[in-house]
Amino acid sequence: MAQNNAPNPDAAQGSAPEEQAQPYKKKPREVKSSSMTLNLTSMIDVIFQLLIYFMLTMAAAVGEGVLTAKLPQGSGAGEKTELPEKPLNIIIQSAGMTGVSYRISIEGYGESPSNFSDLAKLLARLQYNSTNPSGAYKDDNPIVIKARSDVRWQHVVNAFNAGITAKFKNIAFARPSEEGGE
Amino acid sequence: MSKTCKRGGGKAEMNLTPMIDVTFQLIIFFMLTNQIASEESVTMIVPRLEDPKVQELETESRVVVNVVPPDYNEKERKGDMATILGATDGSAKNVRVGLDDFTFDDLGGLTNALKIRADQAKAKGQEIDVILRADCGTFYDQVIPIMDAITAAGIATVKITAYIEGESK
Repeated sequence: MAQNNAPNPDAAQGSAPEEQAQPYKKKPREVKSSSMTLNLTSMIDVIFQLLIYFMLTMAAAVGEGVLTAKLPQGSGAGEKTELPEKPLNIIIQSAGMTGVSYRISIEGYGESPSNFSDLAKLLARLQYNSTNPSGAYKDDNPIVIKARSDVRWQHVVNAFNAGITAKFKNIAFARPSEEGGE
Repeated sequence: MSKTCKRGGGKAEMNLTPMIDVTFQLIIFFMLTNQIASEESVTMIVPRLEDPKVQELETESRVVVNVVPPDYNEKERKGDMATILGATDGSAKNVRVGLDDFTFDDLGGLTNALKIRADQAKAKGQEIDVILRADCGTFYDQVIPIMDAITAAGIATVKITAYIEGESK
């Protein structure tokens, strides 16, 4: 009896709503066999796009490497390294209006290499080893890069790199000096 | 028989839920690390070297000390090295370590921050690696005070950043 009562209020509203409701009732029956699923394809597309984007932008930070360097000795508590009597001083001065170019010289040597590849070659010639017994400096002889204050960092690091290219192991930076040159 | 017929009516579907779970995890990971990495590395042009002997960095406890160059127009700093260098005045704005900025008047703060990080690394039994990142156009006398501040924190060596051959244009 109760079951019969339930649909009665719907019927009381009139026949028109019942006719409209019928198509909705039929449709679920047709798709009943397969369960209702959300279409995930587009979401996965978007997610993969995002994933690829973040992976690629993250890789953009790579491309830089490092050169290990000794710091100039100062007032700090850093470990003290004793400089032997004869460090090889590389002097870099800036040239040109904005310090775009540079002049390199090695203290005590007349040659002034025109670029850092030449500096590396000159340093390699000065180094004493089994293939170059005429060299005056061992590979652990300190190399000090003395750059003037208006020298660009580019040139300072390049000089440092030249020392490493020549297989010197003990390269340090000196405080900027104003004496010498213009 | 009728049961098998009904099953045959449904399509065979892959369960995508675990894949989506994993993918979301990856996205969140890359989003977070990406943000951290971009905050840590200030935009600048690091030196490009002749015949570089630069090595890839493999280290756990590292601190990147950025010598922040003044804001520049990226379009002006393209082409050969002379153009790139000429487009900057060689000054530096401040120093950034992680997400902290230090002015040149407050390099003591930089020293303290590095000391704390070095002690933390020591407590874990690791050596701290300080990476000095400066723009190629920065004047040497702008970098020296920062080197001094690092030395004052009891750190004797730094790693200097430059482009790795082959990975840069």
